[in-house]
Amino acid sequence: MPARGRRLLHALAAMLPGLVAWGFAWDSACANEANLQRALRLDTARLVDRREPASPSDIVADRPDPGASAAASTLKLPTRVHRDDGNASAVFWLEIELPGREAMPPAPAIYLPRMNDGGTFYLNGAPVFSLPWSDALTRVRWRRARWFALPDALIQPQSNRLAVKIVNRDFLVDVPYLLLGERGELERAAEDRQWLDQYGSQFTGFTAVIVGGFMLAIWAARRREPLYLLFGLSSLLWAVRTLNYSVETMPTDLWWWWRGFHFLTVALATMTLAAFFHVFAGLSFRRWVWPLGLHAVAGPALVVASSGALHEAVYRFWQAPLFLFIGVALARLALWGRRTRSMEALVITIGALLAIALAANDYATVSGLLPVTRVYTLHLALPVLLITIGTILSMRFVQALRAAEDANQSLARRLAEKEQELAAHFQRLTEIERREASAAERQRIMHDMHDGLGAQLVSTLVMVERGAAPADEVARLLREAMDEMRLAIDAFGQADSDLQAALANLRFRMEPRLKAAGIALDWHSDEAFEAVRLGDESSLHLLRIVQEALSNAMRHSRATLLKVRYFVDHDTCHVVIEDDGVGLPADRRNAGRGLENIRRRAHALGGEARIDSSARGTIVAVHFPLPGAGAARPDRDRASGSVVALWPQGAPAHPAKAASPRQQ
Amino acid sequence: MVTRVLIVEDEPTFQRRLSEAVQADPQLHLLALVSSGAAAKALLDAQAPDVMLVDLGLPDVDGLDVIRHAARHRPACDVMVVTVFGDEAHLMASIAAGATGYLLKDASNERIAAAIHELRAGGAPISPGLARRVLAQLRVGHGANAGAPAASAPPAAPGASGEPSSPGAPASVDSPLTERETEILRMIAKGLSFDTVAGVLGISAHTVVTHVKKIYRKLAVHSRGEAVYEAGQMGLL
Repeated sequence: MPARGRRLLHALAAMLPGLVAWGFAWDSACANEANLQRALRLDTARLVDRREPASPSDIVADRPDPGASAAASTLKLPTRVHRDDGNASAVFWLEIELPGREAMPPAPAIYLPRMNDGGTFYLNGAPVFSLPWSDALTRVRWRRARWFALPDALIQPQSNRLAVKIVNRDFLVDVPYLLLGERGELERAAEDRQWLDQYGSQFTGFTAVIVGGFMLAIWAARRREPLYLLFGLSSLLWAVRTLNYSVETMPTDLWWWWRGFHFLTVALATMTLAAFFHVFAGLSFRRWVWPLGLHAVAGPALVVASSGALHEAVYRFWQAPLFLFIGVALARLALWGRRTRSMEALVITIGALLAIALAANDYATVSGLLPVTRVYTLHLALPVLLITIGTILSMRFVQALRAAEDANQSLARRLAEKEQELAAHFQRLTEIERREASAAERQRIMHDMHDGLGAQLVSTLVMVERGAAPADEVARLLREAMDEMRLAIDAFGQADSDLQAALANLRFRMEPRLKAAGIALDWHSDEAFEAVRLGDESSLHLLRIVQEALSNAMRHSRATLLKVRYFVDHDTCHVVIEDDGVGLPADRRNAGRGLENIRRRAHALGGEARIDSSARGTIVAVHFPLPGAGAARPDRDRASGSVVALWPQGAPAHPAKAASPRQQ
Repeated sequence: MVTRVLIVEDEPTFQRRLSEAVQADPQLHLLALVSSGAAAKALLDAQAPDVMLVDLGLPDVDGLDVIRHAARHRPACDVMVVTVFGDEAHLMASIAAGATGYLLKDASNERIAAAIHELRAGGAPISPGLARRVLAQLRVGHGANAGAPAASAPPAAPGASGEPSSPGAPASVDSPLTERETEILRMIAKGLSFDTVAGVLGISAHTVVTHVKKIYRKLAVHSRGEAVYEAGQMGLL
């Protein structure tokens, strides 16, 4: 899936819960109580009197006065009466006509969607329901729907009269419409409304605390990300603000502080949200801090300082600019998102616009632009924004983690690639070295053949040309040259040549000749030696050593038994060729070209040759390091001194001539 | 009965050497001496020699051609390749073509005559290198890895066993060789002489070389079968 499509999907996923919450809130605001079709809506009242009682006890004692109805003015409910003398207690008397018993539902009851103030309801002059009102000690501001039953005994058959005493201490007197209906139905409606107004706000506060705490925790771990700090603070401030819906009573002394605190949290929540929008878009919020900060403090300060005298002014004129601030911040975010085609900015903008619409609903409701009984929706709208932004920030966090992981992976991959390259280089180098070594080896072998075989052929040729050589001597020399060549072919002339095969060929070739010369061949190789592999050049050296020793024995020894032993001992290869003949001729003992060649070739193998000759026979013992066995230990072998030690089975190095027939 | 010998050799020195060796032996009769492959084929068409000595390096045709011609038209004729060094690759090709013997060019007159008699008596020469190659070729089916060194096989223990469990049975599923034949080849591959092999197995040296000749025949048949198989694979048949 292309990256853009995936981001769009993420964005929609982030918005979905918010959209659902918003839809729910809006539907609740519009459609509450709409299903109460059977209830009778009472939306006409008469304002019969307004009195300023001298003391609290006067308020309690005040009773409905049937005689005052003449001076009444008619009100269309719900309505709002404005008071200029806001902070003094005042009693408002209203009268509402109820139908006769016949027109009433069974178990009749009255439902009040919202009643901010306390007061008492009288049916036909008798009190039937009372709500505590603000007095010297306690201020009330009721937030929930109410219902109360109409006692059967008080209901008149023809017509009934409901008198309402409202005790107000504010600049506004809100009078809701009333519903007359069946008691159970109204009870349910009241519960629904309470769920929306109070439990909803508690849920929102809880959500905001969780989200805010989570964001602050992230910020604590990543101090360089102010986004998490701003959003976390904003969430917590909104959580505090929702307390307004739950706290219905307050000691009178603290009342204005409480109102000021409420205003302050609204202002600061708005401000931090505006800051969040700016930071999210990478814009500077610095020049906004002072003006907005002063504004945020000014409203609450005026309310507290004036002890509520300026409450109405602050309420009306101080709150409205908050919409402007957040609107401007949101517009800047939206413009940035449009320019950078940021899906996240788009989602936040939409979420914020929806939230603002719901906040506007509340503002319109409390300021009388909309019916005062409308459900408050801002606390329901907040989760829209919280969840949307929370999801986006979480996604950012996850993306940051993933980016770090990707970086690690790509680093590891590049490392692996480099390693591979290095290995390939090394292999190439090894191959080149191997080829060079092989070429050099071939060169040495050709050189060797030139010096050995060539020289032999030339000397034979000279002998023949001088006519000095007897025919059999010439034949012998040529045969030697052929043997030499045959060895070379065995050693490296064939694709599958190896030391063991070449030695077998040598043995096979020499055995009949030795036999013809009256020499029995006892040839033995131990298992370890049979696994020995040598390069072409080394093979040729070893083959020539053995051939030379065998030829010497055949020509000079007059032996009857020739023993050839191959074995490996402590990473050293040993080849011992021993005859039971008369030994080397005295004049050739150390000067013989053949023996000198044996020593030279043993040296070329990285080893040594010992030639020991006596009247009882000759021993040629060669040892060299086992190829691939690491460091050889020639010192140790040299130190062993006697050739006798080279025999693995402890057989005598100079077997008696008498013993030889038994060997056959 | 006199053995009629045909010599196919283009080099005068060896022509003389070979013909001398044949003529010196009363049991041998030099049927003809030719110096080209074409002449050899023509003669084979006309006459039925008992033994043909043939040099692989002829001026006109490949010596292998002549060997194949003889094997096809004179199956009773023993073919002996004359070679300088007993170069194993060429010998293997010759055996596959139908030769059963080979002769080193440096052999003495007596040795030449003796080799001819041996061949007629049912024996055949071999060398360790050749034995390895035969083992390698016949051990693996269809010769796919014929070049693999025979040394990879576990070395036979010459002194260890007297009698193989079932001398007539093939050594393995793929190999046409009997266990006895394989054993002989292994020993020779290690460089043991015919006498030693014979001694270890408790048979005569002549029996050893008889086995060798049988092995060569199998190799030729095996090679032909392989050729047929390969031709089939290529869609020629």
